[in-house]
Amino acid sequence: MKNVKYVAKIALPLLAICIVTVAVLAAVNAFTSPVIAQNRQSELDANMASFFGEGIETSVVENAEFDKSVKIVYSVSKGGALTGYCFDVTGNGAYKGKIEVLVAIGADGRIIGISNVQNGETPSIGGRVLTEDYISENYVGHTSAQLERDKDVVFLSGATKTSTALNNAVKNAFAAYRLLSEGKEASK
Amino acid sequence: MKLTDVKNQFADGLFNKNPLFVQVLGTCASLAITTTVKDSIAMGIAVTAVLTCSNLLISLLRKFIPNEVRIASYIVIISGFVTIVEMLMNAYLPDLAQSLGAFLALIVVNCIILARAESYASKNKPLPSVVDGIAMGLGFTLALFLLGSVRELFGAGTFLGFSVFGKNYTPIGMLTSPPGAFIVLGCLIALFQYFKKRFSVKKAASSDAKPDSGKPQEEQPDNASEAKEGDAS
Repeated sequence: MKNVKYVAKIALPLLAICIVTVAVLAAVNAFTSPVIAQNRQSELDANMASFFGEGIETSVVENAEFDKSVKIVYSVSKGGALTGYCFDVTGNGAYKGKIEVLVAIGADGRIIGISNVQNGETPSIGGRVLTEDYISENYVGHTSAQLERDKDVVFLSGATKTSTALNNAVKNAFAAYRLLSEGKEASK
Repeated sequence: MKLTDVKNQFADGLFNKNPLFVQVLGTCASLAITTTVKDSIAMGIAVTAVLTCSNLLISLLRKFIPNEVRIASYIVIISGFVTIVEMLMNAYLPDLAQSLGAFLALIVVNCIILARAESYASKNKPLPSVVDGIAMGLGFTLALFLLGSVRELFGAGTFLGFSVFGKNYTPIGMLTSPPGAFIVLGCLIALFQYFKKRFSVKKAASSDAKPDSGKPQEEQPDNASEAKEGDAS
């Protein structure tokens, strides 16, 4: 019985501290999460505008057949005509697990641009893969048939894992793209 | 608490017991984050905010927290503040939060904060603890700023992103990588110790009224000197 009292004496204050901390965190989170979501959205909008130009309209596309690596798909149109899609996709095989990128593919099936969404790669090592220079040299303008390693896309030495993850992410984006374009032909 | 106490606390935090250059605490984050001046300052301010808040709360709760679970309690409090800072930065300073990345969350395990909680805030009243948090935080910020300045200036040829040496300067790329960080930190600690020794010798010679100032303080175990301060206040 004495033991129980002793344990309670040290455990209850710790429990109280934990409960108060969690309550405070929940309050701060409720306060900041809308702002964070808004930041993400405006960043996304800015990215899509840089790929497709100003004055675009975007809408979220739903498709049950998308792989689970495809997080969100936006269809982009300008003046009522479809100009392309943006795929928020993840790619496996990076140094820290996964990378998440936004891949923009035009209506002609060519990559318009890729931008980073979230990754845990070391900036000066794996991060070199996710720079504008590398992407514009190795991916922009390529079709789904031009993604082969060492033929169409150069994998950076020292950053092979991040290069692989980016390549996987782009392939995932094209898989979703294929679903969308096949679906459209079928409906015609 | 007197004005001289505050002065002494600031002298300790910035100079005599500088967290990075004298106590050599929190080196992991310091070496990783100081590739640019901007990140260094941001990290310093984030640490100062967490340190000040956690010192205040731990000092207020110092009689409530049982001795047996004090470290666990401190960690919960510290991680709470770090998460708050992280959420606020993500919401209002997203660029900075992005460039600090995982190291923002890793402030939780930054040993400066736990060291100050354990050796100062848990034994002192709230007001001196807050002053201690600010002083130690500023000392850490100063150290990060110096480290970041050297690394960005010579490693990239820029300062706060602006080109300093022009296009003809070839940056010393190694300084921006981890080995370069160790070398710069070592040099800065050596320089700091040199100035500290000169300064304290002069001070001892000019005024015999303060017998403490002449002795090299870093040789004393930190806990012992803190305990003395705690009794005094």
